[in-house]
Amino acid sequence: MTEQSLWSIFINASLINNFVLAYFLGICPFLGVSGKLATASRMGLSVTFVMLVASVCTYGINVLLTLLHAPYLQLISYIVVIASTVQLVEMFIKKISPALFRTLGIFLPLITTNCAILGLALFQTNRGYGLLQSIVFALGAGLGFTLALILMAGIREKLELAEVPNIAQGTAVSLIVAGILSLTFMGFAGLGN
Amino acid sequence: MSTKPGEIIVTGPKDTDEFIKGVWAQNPVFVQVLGMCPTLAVTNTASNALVMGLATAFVLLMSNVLVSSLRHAVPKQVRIASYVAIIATFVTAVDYIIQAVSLEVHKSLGAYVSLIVVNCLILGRAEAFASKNNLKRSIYDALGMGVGFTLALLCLGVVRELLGNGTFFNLSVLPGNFQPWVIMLLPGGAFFVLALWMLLINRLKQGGPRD
Amino acid sequence: MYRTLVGIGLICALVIVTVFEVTFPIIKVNKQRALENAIYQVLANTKSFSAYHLVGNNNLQKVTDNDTSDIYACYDANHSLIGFAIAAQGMGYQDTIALLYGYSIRSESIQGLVVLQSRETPGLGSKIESRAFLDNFNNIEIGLDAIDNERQQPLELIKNNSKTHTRQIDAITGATISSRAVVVILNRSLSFWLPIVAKQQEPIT
Repeated sequence: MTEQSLWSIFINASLINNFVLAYFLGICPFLGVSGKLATASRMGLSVTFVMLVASVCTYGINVLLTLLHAPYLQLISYIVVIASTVQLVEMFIKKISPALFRTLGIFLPLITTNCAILGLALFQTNRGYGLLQSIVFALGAGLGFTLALILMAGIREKLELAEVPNIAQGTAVSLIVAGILSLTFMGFAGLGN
Repeated sequence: MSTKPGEIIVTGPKDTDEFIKGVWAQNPVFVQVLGMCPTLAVTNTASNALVMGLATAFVLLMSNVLVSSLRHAVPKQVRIASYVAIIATFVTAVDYIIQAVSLEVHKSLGAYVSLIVVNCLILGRAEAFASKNNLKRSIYDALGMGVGFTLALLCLGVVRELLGNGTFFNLSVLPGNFQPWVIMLLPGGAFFVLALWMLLINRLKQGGPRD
Repeated sequence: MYRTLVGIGLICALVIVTVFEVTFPIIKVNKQRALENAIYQVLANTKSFSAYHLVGNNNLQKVTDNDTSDIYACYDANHSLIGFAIAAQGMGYQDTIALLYGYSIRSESIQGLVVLQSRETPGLGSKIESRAFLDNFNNIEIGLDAIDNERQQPLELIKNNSKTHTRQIDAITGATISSRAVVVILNRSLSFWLPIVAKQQEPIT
């Protein structure tokens, strides 16, 4: 019995419980490709797109698995569906818009092992979201991910000009920035109710 | 995957070296920065960290064993797909085993048990090590990486629980007038504690910057 | 190539099915025991219970499968109906909170509340599972006919221990969001189930 309104699902997924900063999903690309603003926004948008498609697909799979009484196949089918979705999206974009494909190109295969996508599928199943709720959830999560990535990239571009102690260079300083961002996002708590 | 194939040859001839490597020189969390999602998410108590570490180590061991034994049979084109299927199988198994042993533990870990599937550490070891090495070395490698991962998780879990709640594995250890640092248990605290551990380890490694 | 793929598929299927077959009965027993404990805790005199399922708009029908049910009719030693244990869930601070509360139809009141599942922040939000907070929910009188529309909110969250009425719930200091989530979930569940229960009590006894 989940009766959350669509708006509160959206706010919850994008700001209050931001996938990166509160659930720690998709940390790898968050630390990996957040060096430049342009790449960060592209990565964010491709993840959002794949999330939307994967969300609809896994919703269908879940209905099918419930009908078949085979809950133990959930994880395997989700991961297979996500991997093939990414592949299909890649081929589709290549055919429709080669220009877009060149800009997204290398990011698409990386998304398969992005825990944010599988996390999204698992959360929407655990919470018993309906189709529309799932789509809104995916949209919110994707935009929240993009926002976190862009913020991080903006800060890191500035950080390059700063003098960081030897031992803190690289991951350590990024983690501290992420921690501060995460604290900032806590200010959104309570918006959704 | 930051492990380059070349590095495997460089490591010593002894099989036990593969074990030591995972715990310290190539520690999956502190050095390779892999598997960040569970590292940060479930380390708010030491016991959660321990269960998560052991579950990951188990999946890592089983997938390394299977991948290594099948390494001559699996064609190159479909190897990633087969690895993912193998990993997903063992994660599902672990998920059910944890539920059978203790529902409480399963509830406190939530969806993060299933998310072991996308832990880049496991796929990384399957692709970079187990698919190229014999069974014995792969087992040592998995044990080393598993222990290294569990230790790293415990490092975070113990610190966060001690400072954030004043307890150590649910036992009160700090004096009663200790005011818990709640921030340690919040998501932000996870990032800070991990960053501080990395600073410490970088310092211990001669204070040079990481590559 | 296809032979290897099929082989791997078979190995995987074998592992999963074996583990599932071995663990499923144990998991089922564990879940059943957890549910029983929770129900006996929220409605003290319960000796037996059976799961019910909502059919149509307000018909309760007995079901055999405890897993998918939200409402359990509870009976005392004489097999007469004393009330209902109702499961409710909703969004907490970080993840879903699942609750179970007991409603006695004899005294027309909420008898108790337990938290079935929550992943609230340890040390803060997790205090919704503490005795001090849960004691707020012992003996809250709400008449069966007190609710006539879905928008009604029988319980109210208050701060700073200013409680003057049993329907007021003291928020936990530092965990207002989790406390509010519990009250919101309960209010939604009460205004949904109470009218149904009010109409149902005769056929179920």
